[in-house]
Amino acid sequence: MSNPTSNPLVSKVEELTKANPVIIFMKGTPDFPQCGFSNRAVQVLRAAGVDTIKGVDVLSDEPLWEALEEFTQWPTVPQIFIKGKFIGGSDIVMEMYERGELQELLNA
Amino acid sequence: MTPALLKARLETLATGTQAEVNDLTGTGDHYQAVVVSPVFEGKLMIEQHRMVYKLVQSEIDSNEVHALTLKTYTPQQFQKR
Repeated sequence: MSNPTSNPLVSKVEELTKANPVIIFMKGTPDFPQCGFSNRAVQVLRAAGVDTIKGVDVLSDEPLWEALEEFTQWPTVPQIFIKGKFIGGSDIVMEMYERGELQELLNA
Repeated sequence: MTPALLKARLETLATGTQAEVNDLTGTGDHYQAVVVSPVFEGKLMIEQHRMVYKLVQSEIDSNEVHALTLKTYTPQQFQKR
């Protein structure tokens, strides 16, 4: 997933994903999302029973945003990590929620 | 990229893969695809999607395919759907 890199911010992204069981890199914050896809992803996580969502606003930290994309090699935000694992964006969390896979992953 | 070509490309993923593609705009560049394959077994959805996107990476990079919305299933999941 992550290529060897000289960008120290990539390690910071990785640390954030390890330190927070559920973390979303998004536009805006969980309480004030600034994009429909980010909003939808937050709503899905809440519907799946997540109480504590760590949100990272990429709009306010452009270098971290670049490091995120370098880390996951995924071109869009939001990006959701659960228990240190990259899960995907809003379409994928929505689909996983509808299939019950998101809940399984959270409760595993 | 024509729907028939895209379908054929997606089905090169692995033996037993079946794909259905839907040209959302009729312009051959916005697609929705359902891909059912035994190779998805035991993989996270993101990994399944990455495997499929890889097959059309050059068309996505060149913008010949502008959008591809995916649904991926193992054969078992697809039957139970």
